[in-house]
Amino acid sequence: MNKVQKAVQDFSELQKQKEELIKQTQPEIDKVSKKVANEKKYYDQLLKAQERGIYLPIIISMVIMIIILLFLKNII
Amino acid sequence: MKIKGSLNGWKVAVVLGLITLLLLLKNSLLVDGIAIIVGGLVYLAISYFLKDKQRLVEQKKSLDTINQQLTTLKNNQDQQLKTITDQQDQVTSKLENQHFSYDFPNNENLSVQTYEINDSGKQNLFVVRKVFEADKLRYRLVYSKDAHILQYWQYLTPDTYTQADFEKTPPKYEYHSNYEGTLDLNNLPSIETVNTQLQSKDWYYQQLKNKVRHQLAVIEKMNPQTSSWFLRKDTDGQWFKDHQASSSLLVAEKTSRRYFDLHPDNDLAPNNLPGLAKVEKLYSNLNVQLKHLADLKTTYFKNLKVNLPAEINNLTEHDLTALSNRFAAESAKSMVDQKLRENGKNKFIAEDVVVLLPDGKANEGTQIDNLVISDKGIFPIETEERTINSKSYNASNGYQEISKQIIEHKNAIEYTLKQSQDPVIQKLLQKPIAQYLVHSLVVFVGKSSQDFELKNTKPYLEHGAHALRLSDLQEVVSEGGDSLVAVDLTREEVKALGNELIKNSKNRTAEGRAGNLVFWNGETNENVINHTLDTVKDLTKQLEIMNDCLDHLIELQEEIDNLKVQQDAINEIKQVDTGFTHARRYYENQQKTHDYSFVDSII
Repeated sequence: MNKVQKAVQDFSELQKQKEELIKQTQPEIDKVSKKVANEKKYYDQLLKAQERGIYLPIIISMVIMIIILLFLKNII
Repeated sequence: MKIKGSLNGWKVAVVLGLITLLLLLKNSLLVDGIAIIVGGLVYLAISYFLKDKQRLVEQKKSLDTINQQLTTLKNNQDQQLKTITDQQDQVTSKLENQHFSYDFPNNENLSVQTYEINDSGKQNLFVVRKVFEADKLRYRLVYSKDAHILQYWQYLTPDTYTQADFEKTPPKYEYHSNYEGTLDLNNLPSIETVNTQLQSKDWYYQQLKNKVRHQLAVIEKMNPQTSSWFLRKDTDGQWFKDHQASSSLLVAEKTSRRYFDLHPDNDLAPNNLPGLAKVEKLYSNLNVQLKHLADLKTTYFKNLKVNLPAEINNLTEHDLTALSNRFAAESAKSMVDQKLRENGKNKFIAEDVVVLLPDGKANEGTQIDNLVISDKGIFPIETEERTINSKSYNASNGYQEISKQIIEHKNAIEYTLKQSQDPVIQKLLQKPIAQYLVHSLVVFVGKSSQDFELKNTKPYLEHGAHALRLSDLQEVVSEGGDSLVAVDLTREEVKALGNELIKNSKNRTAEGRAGNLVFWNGETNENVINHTLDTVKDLTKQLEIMNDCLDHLIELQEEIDNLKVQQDAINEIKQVDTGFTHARRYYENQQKTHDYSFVDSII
């Protein structure tokens, strides 16, 4: 086996190792990546709801105030 | 909690806020207070129920944990991959930039080869092998990792190569060239024909070059003086005097007439300078050749050493007209002179006599066309040559100019005589007759042979002058005209006047004038002029021969260049064919032995 053949063989061997490693580790990475994506999606939804939820108490309390001001005036 | 997007929470809140504010303003304080308290309580209660911060914080924590897990996994994978890549780099670096000797016997001086491992990242590992002749790349061979030949490149020059791609079926053969010509590759002549043609053209080229060298020697030997054949100013930068210009013109024209054997019948007509016209043509021809040579020198033959001017001066149209008029005037003067000499006994007769001007410089004066001194007095003659086509001519044409001349000449003669130291003249001037000594004459000479009568001559009498025809001149000068006051001078007095006005005239000069030309440096020797003209003729001929040779050399060079391109193309095509044959043979061999020992058949 000459120098070139040896180099090619070694290189191919290492290439195979690379492929093997990717084969072994990639499924776990893909799985976790998917989980991260789902968690992130849920977190984003919560954040959005939190932001929008500010207006509801204000609106309801104002409606009640309007009702009191309109209808309770005559009673008192 | 979700609010519909279209409601747009903050807008609703603003509208309701405004309504509440209006109602607060309208109601009593008690109601307002109750409303604000209830509203505030409601706000606090709903806010408390809606806020879910805890859940958000928990979700964030969980997300961070999983993210960290993912990063760790990826880092681990990257680290492991990097370790393997480093090992691969080590393997390739053992080959890259290393030269292996090319040990296979060959007759192309192939001595060195290099290897590179190339990984395109998609499991397409291949080996690139380059084989060199000295430091020039000759072959580039690409193999798969299984030692299958994929590509075969054979270089003719760094830019010209044959390429065979065996990855495709059937293999694809291509030829890359940097040749940019308009050569019909399908109809190329045989290399033998091109070589023979090149040989003969080369031989002819050398012959022509020798001829040019010979011509250069011939021209140099002639030592031609061709800067200019006429001058406008003398060596001191002064205009030439009238008499210099006139005599040079007469010599030049008459000599060239003899040189070209020309016999014009009228020296007064517009085309009265056929000799100079021929000379001008001669110099124009020389000019053409000089200009051609100068152009060739600037464009093609920059190293050609010839000591010649790029161009010589030509006479302008204005020059030619002025020269023609001057020659006609000179001829007319000669005719007058000749006429006077028909009966010239006991008379002093001369042309172009210079007499002193009262307000002029010493020894400088005005020139009188013809002057006669006889016992009848002094006759300054203004000669006017005119184109006369009818039977009568109006003598008053140009009267203003002529009368000015008459007065000037008369005053100048009188002044010159007054300046004389001759006692005879001094005595004569004291006689009463002295005021009638000068009789100005204006002689009209027709340019054609047309006979004519003079009309309107009376105005001249105001200045004591007579206008007359050439045929009447002799009679007036010899007999004295009817209107002339009779003057009878002694022989001694005539002689004294002759000496003073005519002989001393040689010591005086007329002023120089712009437009006066002198030919061939004022040369008067006919042999010298003839030799100059011979030289011009000969030089023109020799230059023509040389220019022809140079033109031919340029054409020949183009033909040779074209043939060389053909030769290159034929040789290139031969090499291309060889390149494809090599590629095919190598492929076939490699099909048989998939082995990195590379049993070579590339040569």
